[in-house]
Amino acid sequence: MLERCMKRAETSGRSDDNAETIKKRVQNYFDTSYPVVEYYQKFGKVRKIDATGGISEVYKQTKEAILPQTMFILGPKASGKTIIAQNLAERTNMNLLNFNEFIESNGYNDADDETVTMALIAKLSKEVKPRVIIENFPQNAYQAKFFLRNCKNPSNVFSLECSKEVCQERMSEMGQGSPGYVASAILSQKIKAYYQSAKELLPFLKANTSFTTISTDRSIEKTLEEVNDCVEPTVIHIRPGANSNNLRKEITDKLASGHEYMDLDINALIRDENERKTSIGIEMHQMVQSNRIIPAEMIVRMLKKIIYSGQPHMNKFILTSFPDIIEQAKEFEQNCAKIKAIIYSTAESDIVEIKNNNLSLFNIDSLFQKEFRLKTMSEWDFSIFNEKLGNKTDYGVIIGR
Amino acid sequence: MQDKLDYTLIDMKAIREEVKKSMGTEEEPFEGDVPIEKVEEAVTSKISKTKGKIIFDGFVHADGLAFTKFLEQFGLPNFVLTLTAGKAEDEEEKEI
Repeated sequence: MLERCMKRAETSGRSDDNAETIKKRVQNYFDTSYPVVEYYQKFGKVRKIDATGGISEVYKQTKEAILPQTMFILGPKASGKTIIAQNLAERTNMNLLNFNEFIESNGYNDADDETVTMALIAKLSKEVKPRVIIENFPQNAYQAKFFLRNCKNPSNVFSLECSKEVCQERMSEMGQGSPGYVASAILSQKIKAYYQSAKELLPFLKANTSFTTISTDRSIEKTLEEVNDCVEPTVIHIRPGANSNNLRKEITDKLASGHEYMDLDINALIRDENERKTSIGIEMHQMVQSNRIIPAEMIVRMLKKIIYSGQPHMNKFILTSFPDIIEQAKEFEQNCAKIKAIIYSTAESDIVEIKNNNLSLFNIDSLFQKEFRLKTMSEWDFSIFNEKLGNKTDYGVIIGR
Repeated sequence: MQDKLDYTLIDMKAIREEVKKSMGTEEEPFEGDVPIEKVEEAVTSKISKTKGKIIFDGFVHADGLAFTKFLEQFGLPNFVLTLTAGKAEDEEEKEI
């Protein structure tokens, strides 16, 4: 930076472009501006831009940073795109945009691929939600190439595959009164047309994006589980055992400072929402004032915005002080993300004594223990932590003569 | 971003200068510090007249937290862009 400013000094004529003043300005940045960055970091709002390149490169990065994170969902008619996209949108803080409806409602029926794709990009640049799932887009390889060149890569592309028989079965279940209903012969034509256009499109997307093929021949619940697995971040909950609060803190600090985990301290987040008088903060404040417990649904609503803030690199979270009871854990897992494990810090040994294994006691330890998701740690060690989390260890083999 | 993405730029330093001018006359320009409340008032007024997207280019508050406090009335920003000059240089700067 110093080098850049000194170079600028040669032509700028600014008297303050000298080493001493520049150092002061940088120090001033860390003293006064950096706290703003730190403050908004916890809400998932900060986008870092590497400004060492030229103006056009920095602008390109900026544009990408402010565009919402996108996902595409493709598949033949009646393969389950809409229901999967709706569920995913609801669960992971996304807006759902149906490209066919977008074309229809904006009068782009006769427009060429470039025009409609440009219109879509323009719409995305005005989007307020940080994440958008686009159904039925792209419809051909040209649209895909144009989008990737002029917008930003989608974080996920889901290509649904479904047998013709299951598609027809689903269509008949929808019934003739349903708005999306088409007769069997027309459905066959539409499925054929989709696979025709997909011949060039799908290999292109496979080669250039994070592409996943999902079979929707089975139940929607099973399909949703698979889709959620692709999208959800790693979420862990750290609980202190007897006399091990310091160890809990050490584990949390080490994961946050050295391994890109974000600590979501629920009590601090509630306090922040409350102080900022956000709509959810006001709701929570009213609950507390009327001596009611803040419902898990409200906490999950607050967490969802942070966990799914549209920054793919923010994908590891620690829940602190929540969930505490089974009902809260279920609410979180049903409507936000699966908790990979509870890490139980134990001061003296790796043994956690669960005195009563009865799930009706509402204690989440017994629930997670029954599902083999309760892990203990008596000292901090990242490799042990990783192993306990069940993360795959990558290894390579080199052979030769 | 202002030219290409239709953002309205809020340059608080420039607004502070405008407020300063309005506090004096041509013969007797205002000398001294403009109270931050006056700048905030002018910014709020500009925002209330603006439709669409707004971007703040820096701030003139004494510290960052006073700025975040001022922003609370508008809700959370959609994003905060922080331009860095490379990791190694960041660390070097922290040591200054």
